[in-house]
Amino acid sequence: MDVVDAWASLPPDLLLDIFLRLEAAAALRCTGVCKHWRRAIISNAASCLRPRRVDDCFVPGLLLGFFHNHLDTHTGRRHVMLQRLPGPSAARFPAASSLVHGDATDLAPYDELLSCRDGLVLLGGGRAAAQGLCLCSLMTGDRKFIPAAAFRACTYVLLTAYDLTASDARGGGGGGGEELEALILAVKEKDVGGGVTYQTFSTRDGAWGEVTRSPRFGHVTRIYTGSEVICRGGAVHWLAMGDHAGMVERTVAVDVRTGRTWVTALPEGCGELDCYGGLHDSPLRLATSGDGRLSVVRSFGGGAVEVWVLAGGDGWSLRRTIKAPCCGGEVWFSAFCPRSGCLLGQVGDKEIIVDAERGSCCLIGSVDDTTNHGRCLYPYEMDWSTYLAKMKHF
Amino acid sequence: MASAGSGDEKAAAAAMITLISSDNEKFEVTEATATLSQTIRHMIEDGCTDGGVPLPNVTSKILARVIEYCKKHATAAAGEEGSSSSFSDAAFLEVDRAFLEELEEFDDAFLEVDRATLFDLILAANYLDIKGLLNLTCQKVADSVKGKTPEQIREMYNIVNDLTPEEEAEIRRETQWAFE
Repeated sequence: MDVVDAWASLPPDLLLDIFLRLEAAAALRCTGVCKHWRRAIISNAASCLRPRRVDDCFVPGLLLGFFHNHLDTHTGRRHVMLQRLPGPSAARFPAASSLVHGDATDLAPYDELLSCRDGLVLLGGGRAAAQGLCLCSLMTGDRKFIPAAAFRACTYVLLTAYDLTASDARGGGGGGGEELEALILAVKEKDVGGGVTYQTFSTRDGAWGEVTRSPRFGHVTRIYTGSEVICRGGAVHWLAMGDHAGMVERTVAVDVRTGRTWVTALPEGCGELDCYGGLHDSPLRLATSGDGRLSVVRSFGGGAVEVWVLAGGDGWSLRRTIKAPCCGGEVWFSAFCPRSGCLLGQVGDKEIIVDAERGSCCLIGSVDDTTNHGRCLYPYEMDWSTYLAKMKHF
Repeated sequence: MASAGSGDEKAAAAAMITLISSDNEKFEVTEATATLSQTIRHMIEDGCTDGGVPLPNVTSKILARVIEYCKKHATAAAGEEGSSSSFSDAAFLEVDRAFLEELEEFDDAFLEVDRATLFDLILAANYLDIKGLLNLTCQKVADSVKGKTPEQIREMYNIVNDLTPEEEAEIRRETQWAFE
């Protein structure tokens, strides 16, 4: 007799113990079972996202899709396009849809995606240059308008509370999820050899800090926009071009918390690339390991992918070699997804998702990025806790 | 009936604890078995186990299962300690692996219970604070929920749907991607 409602009335902390073992999509489906389950999940939203354990930070279920910047060559208009990942049952990517719809008129001038993280997107745009930037939460629709950095020709990187508090496992996801808490790092792309010029904006202070120029580096000339990764604690690394055009042998890093800047040599043999223009699409990609260390993923042809992890100082260790399916050529990586730990890559005309942490690989059909302007893909990974916290209580 | 732990030759030497279920059945267990429960461990440390430990939240049926689990895992723990001194490393690893395999098989078989029993085991594991058992039972539920729709989950666990059709439609909208 008591069995009938028993499962519906399991104490919330025990329900949570169960839900925390599920991946995001499965836990989300549990919010539709009954009111008690729903409340248990929603009111504990903050603990439902990472960081869960220091040694297991990636949650594969968080990856929802990819953004790209789209330029309509007929009208000359730009849009930010979102393409969702196909679900387990669908073989093809659903068609890309425009992120900013006609009704959001105050967002209309912000037609270019500059950076995105945890469901927050940083938008800019040619027509909005005078007005600056817009930081927008895709989950809540909240938006903040922010002036542009003090210098031009720069690249923007978005960091969130998760990045800045991740050094202690319990700190992440805090802040109640009410405010858009983020830090924007603006860095000059070129002339890095003489020192990197940067400036940070904190949503907490609501203003840009001072423009800072680091000491001289040497051996690097520019950084590649879109190649950046953020290591635990707030160190942002970019791939950097060496003295010889096309040679990529080092990363340039800026630690947003301490202001420290430094150069890290890549593992030997990793950086011999013959591509010149951009590195949005390349056999070499920066990533982070599950425990938040800098890592390098490199394809050497024959479907083999090597994963290297920085062991301390300039010492690299080969973590694993992954054999990509559908053998053959080099894998060209177009995005690293920091929350799910996956890399999006291309072999021939097929897209694959490589899980560098677990060493697995899967084919996902092809991304429709024929209209991709700038060839950069940005991962759309949900801020799970904000998402849950904004769901309706019934 | 209340014979858990008897027949074991070493039992006489070991300190015995009496556990009393909600329906007043008594279970004699060794201290090593009982202290897998942090709740009972604290009671023993506080010296309030004379005359038996009443467990008003646990029925005899469930308590018998819980004791079965604790005995097995207490033996495994003792076996590991005991064997480490008398075997070479390689032999030790071999024994260790056999132990773990056996334990895993035991756990799998242990979880072959109906939903009501599983539910009671979770509550008992939580009340008695037995980490391994709580971990095992919660994982079992999590595994059973994976890949299921809300309707299937409700059916599996006999949960009454207290959401209105409007609320359900709303949930579907906000979580659409999870259902695709």
